[in-house]
Amino acid sequence: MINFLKMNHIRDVITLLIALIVSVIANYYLGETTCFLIPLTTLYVMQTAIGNSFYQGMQKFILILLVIAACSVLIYSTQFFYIMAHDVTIGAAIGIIARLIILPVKPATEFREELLPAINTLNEYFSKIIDQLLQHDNHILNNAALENALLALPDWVYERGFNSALQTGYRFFLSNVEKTGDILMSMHHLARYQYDKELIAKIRPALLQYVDNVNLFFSSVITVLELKKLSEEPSDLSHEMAELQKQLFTIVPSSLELLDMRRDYVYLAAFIYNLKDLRKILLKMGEALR
Amino acid sequence: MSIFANRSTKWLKTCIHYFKTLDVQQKAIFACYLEKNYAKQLDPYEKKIRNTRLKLLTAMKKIRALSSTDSRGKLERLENLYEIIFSLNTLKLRISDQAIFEICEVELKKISLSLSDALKHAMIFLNSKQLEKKSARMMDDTAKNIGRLSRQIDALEELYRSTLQVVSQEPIFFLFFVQDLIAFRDALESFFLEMLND
Repeated sequence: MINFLKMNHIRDVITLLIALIVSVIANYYLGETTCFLIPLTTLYVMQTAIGNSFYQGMQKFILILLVIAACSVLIYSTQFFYIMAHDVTIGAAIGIIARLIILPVKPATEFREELLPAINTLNEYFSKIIDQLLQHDNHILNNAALENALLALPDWVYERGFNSALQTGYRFFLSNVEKTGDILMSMHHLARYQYDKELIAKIRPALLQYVDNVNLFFSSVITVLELKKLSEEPSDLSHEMAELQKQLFTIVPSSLELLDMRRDYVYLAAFIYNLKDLRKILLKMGEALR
Repeated sequence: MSIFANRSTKWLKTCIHYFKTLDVQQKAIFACYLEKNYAKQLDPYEKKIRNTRLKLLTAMKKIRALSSTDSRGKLERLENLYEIIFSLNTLKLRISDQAIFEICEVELKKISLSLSDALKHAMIFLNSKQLEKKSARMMDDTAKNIGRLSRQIDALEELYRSTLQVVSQEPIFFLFFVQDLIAFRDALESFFLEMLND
C-alpha cells in the first residue's frame, strides 16, 4: 500500500479525486452558479508544477478573476462579478489547500528520483562512447537514450515561484548535468572519427584506467542520490588525468603548430580535454552532494 | 503507397523544424561569445540554450520515430550535426577570460550568420524535396552557402594562427573550436549530398 502511494501518478489521481469530491459538495451547498464553476476552478488551479502549488495556484486564481472582471465590465454587471468571484474563490481555495495538504509531493524526493535515471544514462552513454572509440565501430551507439534522459530532466526547478532556498542548489546540480550532456555529445562526435589504430592502442591502457575511475565516480554520485552510504570516497581523478595527458603528449606533438598537422591528433587531444572537463564537472557535482 | 508518402512528407517537415531549431540553438550559443553582458547575466542566455535544447531533442525524437530502417545514415548525420553544435558550446566552459572573444568578435558574428544561412538553405532544400522539385539552381545555392561558410571558417582559422595563438591563455581550445566548425560544414555537406542522391 505504501509503495502504491509512492507512485506519483497514483498520488496525483487520489489528490485530484478528493479535491473534486469536496468541490462538488461545496458546489451543491455553497455554489451561486449552476455551471459547476467551483469544481472546474479547483481542477484548473491544481495544474501546477512540483514545489510550486501555492504560487502557481494563486497565479491561476488571479488570472480567472481578471477574466471575470473583464467580462463583467463588458456586460456592465457588478452582480455577475460577485457571483462568479464567489464560486471561483471557493474552488481555488479547495484546489490550493488540497495540493498543499493531501499527499503533497516532496521536491527533494522528486528531484532525486527524476535525476537518477538521467545520471545512469549518462554513465552508460559514456562507457559506450569509449567502446566506440576503442573498437573503431561507428555504428555501436545512437543518441536515443541520451535524448530521452535529457528531455526528462526535472526542469520544474527553474520555474518562478519554486522555493528559492532549494532552487539555487538544484539549479546548480541540474546545469552541471546539462553540461555533462554537452561534453558527452562532443565526445561522441569525436569518437565517430576513424583514428589510426596504433594511436588508439598506445593510449588504451591509460584511457581504460581513467574510464574505470570515471565510472566509479558516476556510481558514487548515484549512491549518494539513492541516500545510501558510500563505502569509500572516489578518487578525484587528478592522478589518472595527469597520467592520461602525459601519455597523450608522448603520442601527439605538444606544439600547437605540429598538432594541427593531422586531424586525428587534434581530435584525440580534444577527446582527452573533454575527459578533463568531465572530471571538473563530476567533482563539482560531488562537492554539491557533500 | 499513400501511407508511405505521408510518412515521408512528415519526416521532411520534422526535419525542416529540426534545422530551424538547430539554427536558433547555434545563435543562442554564439550569443554567449558575442554579447558582452553574458558574464554578468548568465541566466537569460542559459535559459535560452536550455529551452532550445529541449525543442531540438524533441524534434530529433520525432524524426527518429518517423524514420525507416534504411534512413539510419541520415539519422546519424542529423545526430552528428547537433552533437557538433553542443560541442561548440563547450568553449565557454574552457575559456577563463571572456575578453578574448572581443578579438574574434567580427569573425564569430560572420560565422554565426553563415551557419544561419546554411541552415536556412537546408530548410529550403528540404522544402523543395517535399514538393519534389529538383533544380540546378538549388544545387548551385547549396555550393554557394557551403562555400561562404568555409570562407568564414578560414578567416577565423587565420585569426587563430596570427593572433589568438599568441594572446590567448588557452589557444588549444580555439583550435578545437575551428575543427568543430570544419566538422559541422563537412557533416552538413554530406547531408546535402545524401539528400540529393536520395
